[in-house]
Amino acid sequence: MSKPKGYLSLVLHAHLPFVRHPEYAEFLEEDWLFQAITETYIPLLNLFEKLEDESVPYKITMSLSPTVVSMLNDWMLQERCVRRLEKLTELAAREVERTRWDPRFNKLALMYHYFFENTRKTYVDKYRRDLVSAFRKLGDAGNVEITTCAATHGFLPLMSVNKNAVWAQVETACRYHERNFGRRPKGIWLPECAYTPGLDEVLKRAGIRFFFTDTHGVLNASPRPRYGIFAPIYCPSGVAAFGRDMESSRQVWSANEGYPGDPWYRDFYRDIGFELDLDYVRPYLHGGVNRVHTGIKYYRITGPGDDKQPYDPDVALDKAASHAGNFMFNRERQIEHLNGILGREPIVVAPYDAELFGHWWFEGPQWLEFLIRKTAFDQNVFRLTTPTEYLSMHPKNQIATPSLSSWGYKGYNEVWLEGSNDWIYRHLHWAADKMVELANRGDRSSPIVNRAIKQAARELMLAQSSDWAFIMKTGTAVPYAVKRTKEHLLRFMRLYDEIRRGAIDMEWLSDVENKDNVFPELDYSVYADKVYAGERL
Amino acid sequence: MKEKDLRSARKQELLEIAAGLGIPGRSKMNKAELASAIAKMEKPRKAKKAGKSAKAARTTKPTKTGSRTAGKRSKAKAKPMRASAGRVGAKRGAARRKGPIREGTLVRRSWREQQAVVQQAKYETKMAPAGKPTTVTTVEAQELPTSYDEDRIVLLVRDPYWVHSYWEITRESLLKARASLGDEWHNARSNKTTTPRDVPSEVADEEWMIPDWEFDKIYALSGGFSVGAGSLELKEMMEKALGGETSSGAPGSFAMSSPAGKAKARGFWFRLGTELIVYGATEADANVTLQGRPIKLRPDGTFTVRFELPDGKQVIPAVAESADGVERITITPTVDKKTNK
Repeated sequence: MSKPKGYLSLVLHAHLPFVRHPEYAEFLEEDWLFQAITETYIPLLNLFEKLEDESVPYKITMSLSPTVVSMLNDWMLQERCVRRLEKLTELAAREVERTRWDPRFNKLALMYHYFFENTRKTYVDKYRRDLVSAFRKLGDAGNVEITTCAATHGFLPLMSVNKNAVWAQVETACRYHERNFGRRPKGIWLPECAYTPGLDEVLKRAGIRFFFTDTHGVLNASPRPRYGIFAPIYCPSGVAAFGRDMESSRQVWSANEGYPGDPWYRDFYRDIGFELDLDYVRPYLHGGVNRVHTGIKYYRITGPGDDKQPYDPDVALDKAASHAGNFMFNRERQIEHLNGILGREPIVVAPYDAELFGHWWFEGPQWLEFLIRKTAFDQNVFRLTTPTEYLSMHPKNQIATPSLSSWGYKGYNEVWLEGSNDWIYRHLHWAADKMVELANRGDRSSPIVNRAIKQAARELMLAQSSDWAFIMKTGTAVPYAVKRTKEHLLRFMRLYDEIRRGAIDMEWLSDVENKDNVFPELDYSVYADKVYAGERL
Repeated sequence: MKEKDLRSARKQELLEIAAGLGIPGRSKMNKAELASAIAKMEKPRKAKKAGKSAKAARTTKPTKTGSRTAGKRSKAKAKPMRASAGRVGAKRGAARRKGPIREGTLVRRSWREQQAVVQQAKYETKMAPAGKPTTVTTVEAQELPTSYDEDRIVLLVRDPYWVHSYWEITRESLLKARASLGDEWHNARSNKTTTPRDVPSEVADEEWMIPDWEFDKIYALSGGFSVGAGSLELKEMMEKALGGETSSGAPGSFAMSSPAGKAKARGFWFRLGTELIVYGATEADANVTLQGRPIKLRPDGTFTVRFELPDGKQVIPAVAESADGVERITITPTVDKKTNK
């Protein structure tokens, strides 16, 4: 292949908050993970492995948040995931029977039955329930660059009144990444793509070489960026910032112009969990009461309005292929044009939530496969790359400080700081200060005190997950998000109190250690001042 | 509930509590076993409550707290609140920014909202009627302390135009402040914060210098004229807000309402499905087929099969054959379904 005119960097960010409730036999919100495993993580692994087997040239960046990795590693959640898959396979088998007289639905029931059964087999027999190792292998092979994220996806700009807390999120993530993937991460996906000036100093200390911002993060950098968002900039700390490309984002995310809204694609909302007779689906619902998504969805988007047509996978597959072709064509034109204007090979950065592919956009993994294959074989204008590879090809870049930004609605911090959720920050900030106090006092001679301090760090981090604020503003699980925030803060406060009084309730400590068992090797000294002496955020 | 109380409850009630708590093997337990299993599960929760009251005692001193989201103009208004406001290190003037307002940007506002909708789907397990809790949890929510008994003011940037602040002043500090009335006094100094610019920087560095018109071109290609979509919407809302509604100055009235577009058009709807249930019974060891396909019998020889029933005629021959193959009975119902819309 001749020298390309530019590069496309696809970035998939996989994240879910830590949800694990051993105190209940089954728990609704644990489904978030099981759905992501079934509909996104396994399909993506299958896709990348297929590309490796066939030696298709490709590059992609995947950020796996430490909470996702932590849950993928948890044997209890693994076990529950297998149970869920067995249940869904059983339900799909009953559906095959039930829809016998209606071939339009029968074909789909068969598809879902195969999908669930095959997913379970892959998960249990092929991966031995260990998806982290599967990702690690892909990372080692060199085509998938695996990056990290803040430990519990804390929204860093609103945490930065306590610099130690920010450092603890970043450093804990890097150490957990190293433990799981065998090396420190070169890149990080900042939670919600949220950057605030000075944050790069923290990343630098952790050995991170690049991160991503939203378009205006780089575009409004100072001094102004010579190449717009089509080249990385180096922060004064030397860490590189890559800006998100609007055009490729819009084509995938947008309701009106975006691919996932195509009338022939599968409709996300019309799930049999909500539609069929309650008595019939009851055994597959949680506690037999809450109607939930089962993943079996028979209709296509069709159009606005409630009158939906049955889904046709063959037509949808054709659509995915033509949308991939359209996306590639647009990148070719964009990159050709940019190359002429910039006088160097541009990089177009296209980041997405990994869970968009497969979970929300059922045909997303197919679209991605078409895009990767077509890019490899059907054109010569651009190539896929990763930030690390691009930086090694283009080490000389402008130095500028990115602007505060996030990829949330309106582009700044509002989603996570508004009427529904601004009450959390006074508590989170208080707790972060107290955590630093605990870490500074840290008593190595007492194993029990150490355990309690470590647990306090876990509780703080879990309370800091940006997911809770996001759900409070937009989600359907608001009471759960509020409860989680309060619960972790209250646990933190009780630990703080008991540690100070020297009266640690061992039974209770063991209980919360068992519940909130994220990051088994967490080192609370990352919160201590000595670790972060003299640095300014 | 104490274990004693539990023992006096009806078994059905206990079963329901046990189901809520997710106690395994509950259906096989007798009343006493259920009661003790529930009591065991309830214990850790009581411990938590005890912890809470201890903390409440620690923070009962009266304090004054508050929070507020304010535009830059509110800096002056913050003064009467008697919290020493931190510096808002804004580089640009207030809402009205000089320079060209970049046009043609409003059309695209929806895709960022759409991104939020999609991201929200990640946390979607059920479509809950508004306000109904989605979890099976039964633990009652405990409350966080209302104050931490300290003097503190914190500024958090929300966007180029708005800074959010929360503060807390202890009773002692208030008294002290009153005593020294007339003097300069500070209870707390906030963190320093800087709001971001909403336009590209005017600083260009020598090494990477290009003419303005060329930068404008690259800015446009980078989506600059629509990145602003976020900023421009904000700018309009800000100007509207400063033009009128916020003049009351009441705390909290500065917060803007959530994004528009939530108002849903009237969408009355009705769905109807039809299913056919075929059920029956025979000898437990008999072989039964329905439309030629074998049916699995329950251990007592009964069976139930349900079908989605499309429009049209269904002939459903059901055949039962004795285990030794000697006897055979066929029953054939025919169903005709028609839907008028």
